[in-house]
Amino acid sequence: MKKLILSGLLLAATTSYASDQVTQATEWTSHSLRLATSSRPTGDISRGKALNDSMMCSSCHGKEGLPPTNRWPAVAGQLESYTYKMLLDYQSGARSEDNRANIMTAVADLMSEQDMSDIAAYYASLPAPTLAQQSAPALVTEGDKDRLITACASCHGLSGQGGIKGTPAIAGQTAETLKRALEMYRSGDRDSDLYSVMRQASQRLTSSEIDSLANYYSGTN
Amino acid sequence: MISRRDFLGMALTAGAAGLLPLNAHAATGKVVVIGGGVGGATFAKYMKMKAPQIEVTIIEQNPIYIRPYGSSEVLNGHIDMSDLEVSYDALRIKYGVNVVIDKAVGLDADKRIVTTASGANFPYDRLVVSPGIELLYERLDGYSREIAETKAPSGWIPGSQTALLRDQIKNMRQGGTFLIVAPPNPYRCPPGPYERGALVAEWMQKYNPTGKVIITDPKNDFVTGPDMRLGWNRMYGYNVPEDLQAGMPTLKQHSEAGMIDWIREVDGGRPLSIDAAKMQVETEQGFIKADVINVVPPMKAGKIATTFGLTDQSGWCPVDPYTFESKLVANIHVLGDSASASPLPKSGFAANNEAKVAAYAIINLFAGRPVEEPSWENTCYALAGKDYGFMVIGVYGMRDGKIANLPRPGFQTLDVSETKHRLAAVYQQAWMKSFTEDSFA
Repeated sequence: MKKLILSGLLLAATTSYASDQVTQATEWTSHSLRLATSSRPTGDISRGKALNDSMMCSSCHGKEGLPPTNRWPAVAGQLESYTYKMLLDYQSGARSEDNRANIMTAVADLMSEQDMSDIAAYYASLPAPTLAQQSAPALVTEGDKDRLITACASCHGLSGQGGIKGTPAIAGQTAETLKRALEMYRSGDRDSDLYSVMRQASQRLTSSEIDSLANYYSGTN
Repeated sequence: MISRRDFLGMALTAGAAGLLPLNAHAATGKVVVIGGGVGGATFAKYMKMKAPQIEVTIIEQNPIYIRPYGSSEVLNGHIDMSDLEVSYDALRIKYGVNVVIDKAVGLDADKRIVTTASGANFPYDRLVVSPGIELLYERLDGYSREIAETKAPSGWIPGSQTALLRDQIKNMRQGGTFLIVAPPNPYRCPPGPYERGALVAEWMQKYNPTGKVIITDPKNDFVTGPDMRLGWNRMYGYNVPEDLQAGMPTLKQHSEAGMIDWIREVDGGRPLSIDAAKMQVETEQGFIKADVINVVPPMKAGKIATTFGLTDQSGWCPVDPYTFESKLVANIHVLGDSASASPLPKSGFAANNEAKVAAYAIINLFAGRPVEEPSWENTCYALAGKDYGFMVIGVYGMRDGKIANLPRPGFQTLDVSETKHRLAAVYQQAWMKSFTEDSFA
């Protein structure tokens, strides 16, 4: 109930001046997010591939979207709208949770909407890593009704492919990235998720549950 | 690395060290470290991490470390003097290093004992000396420590001279000249004098737009030269001399004299003397008058290295590259700027790397194990402006018994996008933090 009232207020607060701003450091609403991602310029894959090198994305995320070490996120096969949203968030400062985010802000700052869209299109065109065959932790398939934790799969898909309600693909993501994301959502340092969904979902996770989820989705079990 | 072990080299070093029955697990011993800079601190930390049973004592004169790397950012107000301060608490509390604030004054190399100014004796099995540099003020006619502390600061070892220099730049008259006298090779922080010039020029654009930066130099080039000159060209109206334009992207042509002027050795840049009363420096091409003069004098190994007989006629300390053990006195290892370890540069990054390699080597020596073949790396980050950075990366290993540059993947070519310069500046700032953490915390 409280959450609904809050998001209603935010909507009112943002619509009053956000009409001509695509990027915003205020919280997203489903309306503003839909507006921002659906009005993006059409992405050009080959231009995105060139930008991946010239803007130095590839030095951490790899030439084919797979990072050379597990310290950085895989971006191959990521949903176009999600990559685009992340770049908007970095550019606006909505994502500024740590030094890594500062690096991304320095890069996104120099990008046009066309650049972001091109890069998003290039990543989406690359083959996504898949989920390793293994038994899923109960949190993935069932969640925990006693603690009101929604099953991960209900938004990220049964095979971690993402795409439901704007969620990212997380199958085959590097373990450190997943751990970091869950920990930072849990602490609230990362807070650009729509309606606090991930902040809520991670709040009641223990550290060992975070480890096990990260290991499951990264296939490092 | 293990497959490429040089057994002969190892046998020799182990032999020279006069060691110890083979016992793979019991690396015990007593190590005394003189100097709590990057080399000494990193060494102590990594030694305790790897072999907590080894007793490690650092003898350091100052209770707080003032980091030299990044200290030019005090001059443009980007950071304060207090931002340079690094505590020894983590070494003490987290790693159990015995940090003694005292001054090493005497050595009995046969009995392996260091004596300090307070009269305490520190026996050791291995002594590590990492004293940084000594500035040779008197090598420039008319210059002295006293003048550096009152009129024409050096600030190459950060401290009160850095603060004085900052205040002088800040209070300089509009349209005044800031003169940097660059040092001869080899010296600490190869891109440093030129980065300093760029940072002050950037500051002047805002606060003293008719001011000028002149760098007079006994050399004809420097590490990161092409990158730095490109930055100067793009931002401070500097025209790159024709003979240095090869391989550079399209340059701006500035019709008027820019904010930065760099006078090379070939153009008579070699400094001959300074007259601090007249505030002018005599160079081979003539006199340069300035409002603020910053001299980076010639330098050699830190004083204690000379006192202990670790330096040769070059003024630096010859070492065995496998262990960084002195070639002149047994059981003493020399790290960081003081060591002759070319092509490893005199940088904090290199000192940190040398310290790690030496720590593991000494643990192996204590345990009677062979020393592994070392490799090192170095990255020099430099700024031509707050948001304009670049870096040079080196990877080093043993070739024919000597330290050699190894081939490495290229990182930054000159013709790079704006993003890369911007990112390099972000990396540089992040490096300041993570590097300090790696060395001291």
